[in-house]
Amino acid sequence: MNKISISRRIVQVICLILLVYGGYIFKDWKQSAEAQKQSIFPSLNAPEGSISTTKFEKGSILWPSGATPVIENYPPTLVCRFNPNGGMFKACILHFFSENLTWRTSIKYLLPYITLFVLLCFLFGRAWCGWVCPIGTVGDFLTFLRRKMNIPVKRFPANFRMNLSFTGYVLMVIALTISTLIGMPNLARYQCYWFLPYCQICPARLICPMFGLIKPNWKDFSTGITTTFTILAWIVLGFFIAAFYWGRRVWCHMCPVGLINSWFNKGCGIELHKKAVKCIKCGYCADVCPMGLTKMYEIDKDTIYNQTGCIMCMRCIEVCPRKGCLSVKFFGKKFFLRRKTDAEKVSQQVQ
Amino acid sequence: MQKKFLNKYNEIILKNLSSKKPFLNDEFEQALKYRLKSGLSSMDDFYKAIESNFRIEKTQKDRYIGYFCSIVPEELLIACCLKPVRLCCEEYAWTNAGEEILPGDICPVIKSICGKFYNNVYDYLDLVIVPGTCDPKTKLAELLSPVKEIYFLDPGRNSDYLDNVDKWTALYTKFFEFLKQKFQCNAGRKQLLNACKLTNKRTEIFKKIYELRIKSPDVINAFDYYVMIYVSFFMDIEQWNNMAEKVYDEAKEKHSLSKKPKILLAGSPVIFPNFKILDVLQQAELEISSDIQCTSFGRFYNPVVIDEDTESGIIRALTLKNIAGSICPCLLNLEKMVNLIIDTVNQYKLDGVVYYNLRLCQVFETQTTVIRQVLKENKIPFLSVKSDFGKEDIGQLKTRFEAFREIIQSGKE
Amino acid sequence: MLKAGIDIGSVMTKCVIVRDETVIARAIGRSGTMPEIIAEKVLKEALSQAELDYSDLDKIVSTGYGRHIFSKAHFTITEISAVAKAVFHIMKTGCLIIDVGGQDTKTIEIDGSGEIVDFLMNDKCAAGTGRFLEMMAGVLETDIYGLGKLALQADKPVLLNATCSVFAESEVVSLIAHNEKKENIAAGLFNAIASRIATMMAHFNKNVPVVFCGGGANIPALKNSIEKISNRKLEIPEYPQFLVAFGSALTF
Repeated sequence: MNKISISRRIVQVICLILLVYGGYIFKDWKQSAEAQKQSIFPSLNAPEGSISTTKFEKGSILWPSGATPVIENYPPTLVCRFNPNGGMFKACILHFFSENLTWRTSIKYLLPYITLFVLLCFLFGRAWCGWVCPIGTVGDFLTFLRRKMNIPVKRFPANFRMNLSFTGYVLMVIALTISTLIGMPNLARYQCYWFLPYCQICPARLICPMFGLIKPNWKDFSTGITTTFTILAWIVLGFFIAAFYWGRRVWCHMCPVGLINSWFNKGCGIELHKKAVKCIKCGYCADVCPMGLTKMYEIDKDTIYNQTGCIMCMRCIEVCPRKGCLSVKFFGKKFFLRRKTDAEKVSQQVQ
Repeated sequence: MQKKFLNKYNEIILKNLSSKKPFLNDEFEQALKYRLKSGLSSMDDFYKAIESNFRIEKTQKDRYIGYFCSIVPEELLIACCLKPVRLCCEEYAWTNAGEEILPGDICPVIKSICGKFYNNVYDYLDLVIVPGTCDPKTKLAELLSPVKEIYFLDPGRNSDYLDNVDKWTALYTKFFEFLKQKFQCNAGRKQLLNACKLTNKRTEIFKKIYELRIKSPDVINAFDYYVMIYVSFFMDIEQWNNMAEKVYDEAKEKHSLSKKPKILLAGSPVIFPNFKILDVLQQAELEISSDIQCTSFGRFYNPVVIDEDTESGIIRALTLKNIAGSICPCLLNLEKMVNLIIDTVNQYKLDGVVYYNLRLCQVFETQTTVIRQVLKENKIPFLSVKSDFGKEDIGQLKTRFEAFREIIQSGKE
Repeated sequence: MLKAGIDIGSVMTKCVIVRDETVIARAIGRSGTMPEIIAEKVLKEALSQAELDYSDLDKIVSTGYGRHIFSKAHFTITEISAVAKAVFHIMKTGCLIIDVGGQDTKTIEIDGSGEIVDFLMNDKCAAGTGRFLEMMAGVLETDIYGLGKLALQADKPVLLNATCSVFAESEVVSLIAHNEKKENIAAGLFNAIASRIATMMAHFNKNVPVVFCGGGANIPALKNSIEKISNRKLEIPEYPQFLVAFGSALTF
């Protein structure tokens, strides 16, 4: 494995540890209630008497046993709220929007968080998906297992992936609509069942707590709605595992958080360059792409290629056999050249 | 199940095409005089290897497989513990011997191959793999089937990765199954990985030599280089790697003394002993600094990149290396060829491009005009020559090469 | 600066003596089987014409098919570069040069600064060279200049079928037997050669003036045929057969 892959795996593992156990490290950063009111990132609490906060006790599908639902200040990143003690990094952007739409928090409290999120995305685009996301790390591990078991990969055609993205958008829109609706006073009584609808089916909710050795809430057959959500969650988890096991990063085409991040890919700081005259059309870049993107292979002029869907794993750049053809720049400055190696490192590609 | 070609008529052909020895074949002996031009003592091993190649002592368990073209994956052959032998040859005397089977205006390389086969030169081969690249080579599958068992490998004419990679992977997988079944060997992922490791090592050594020659083309001169390429046709890969590494280690200590113009040689391959073009280029005081030909650059330059290290993943990576990354003009690779030429010349500041066409090879000739126009636009001096194996046009070639040198030198002033 | 340029061609050897870029003497002789001796003889003849001695020469440049054989030469240069140099010296502009020699025909394109852009040589096939015309002149019982005179008087040129000059010979013999007029046959022969040359010209830039030199330029019928078939005007400089030798003397 080459330099970028190695550093990426290291970053992924560090982030996984940080996001799961970071709470123990950052525990003392919790500020007092008065200090919180004056900080740039004020704490966002559920409104008084909100049903959503009072009904969630043991046995609810959402909260793992023992965790409290009080929301503390957090910049929304790619983490799951259901990490036990994620510390400073509490929850993903979808959870952030869902929750605040339900509680109808005023914009002036949300703006700093949103600004921070947009700034990070503008800098790094969808690199979060490739370098930080904990369920992505879990999924890559599944891919590693598959390869060890000598099972061939399943490649999905472009229209299948587009359908997945479409499904992801549909789920996102439905979830946000439901969250908005139950925020209205006359529909507030439904909050206990429909709070955070996407989180209820997201596979991260079931996977992340296990890293903190906390049993996630697998099933709840108490009411019709919770049963439906349970079964949907199982289906989505099953799809998640199957997609990562057989298909590298197919799931990421559907993940709604990834889809939001991908809006920022086209203008972001990380730029992938191709020098078309050096290309010998060997197809390696398209072959190794975990998202199945082929634009890097097809492009015939010198361009910056940032396609929505690219998770910035830089595998294409690592495997290109023509020195200087593909490269990465950060806001125009060369940040990492395709293969620092010369011919001597070629044989190390084979383990 | 591989179809056997020309089943019904094999006896008739064998009966009528008698095997007779060709007249005076001293080309090899003549060509070995290039040993004197070499300044490197480690090249001796290579010249000795050529001298001893005629006597292949086949043991009971050795299996030799002949093949043509870089389309055929050597790694699959090595993984099955077979010895690959590349059969492309450019020997004039055998061309005359092949006239009986292929009279008329047909590629002289194919004629010489037929001549050799029908004169029992390749009796030690167990199987011959014929790729469906150019037309006469495709027909070789039928012409050679009376004398040898043939496996036909057809990659199609389209070199686009996206449309064809599944087809190519199926082709190679079927080929692999055939080999395993025929030679009763159980090759799996481990053997494939080892084979890829060997060829990647060879790629690495070749790249070092190639880049050294670009900077200092007289340190390993063109004759030595092409002799090394020729020896890799039949030599065991590990042995070749060791010998080539020694040559590189000796050569990199030397300094380049030559101030002659450096050119890029593209087009038809130059195969020992047909070194006429190299001779004339040297007499015209041009240094072959780099080349884009299928036997040397096209065969060795791309590594195998293994991302999915499952068995089918490795086979897929091999198709990308051999077929998608190939520069053979039989596939639709013209743009790639032009890009390579322009990029190599600009990156290493070479002085000109000589495009060598083998007479009667149409695929190379059809590319000439496009390459000429694009290079004219990019202000790169270009010369195209057409020749075959005979020695009667040496004077004419020399005039052209000298004129080309004069053009380059006056352009520099 | 006194220089001598010797063009050792396959049929004729030409020599010019040049003082400061002006030609002061010219000599020509048939190359025969011993080009080195003929080259010496021609050089001596040119020197005596200019009333000079061998030792007065600063440089001797040899060119042409036998350039490497002449040991007295200080430099060698190919005839392609030589003719480009000479024509640019005369025309001072970019043009297309056609050189019809004894055994080859060259088309060379030069740009506005005298650099050679590209060149094409026909030296494998006799059809299109002076050799073809010599052979056919023999069949019609005349010499090459006589053939040219005959062609100028043709009223209906014959269309020859044969592509190869060897077969064209038997075609011409049969045409004579069928009482075809010699003038028309001659004109047909020049048209055949001109179409070969026009094909070579088609590879190059069509907007530049065309300069016709070499031994073939001495025959007006050939010039007319080429102009008619290629539809371009040809210019013939002075002493076209000596241009290559002149160009070699200008180099170095």
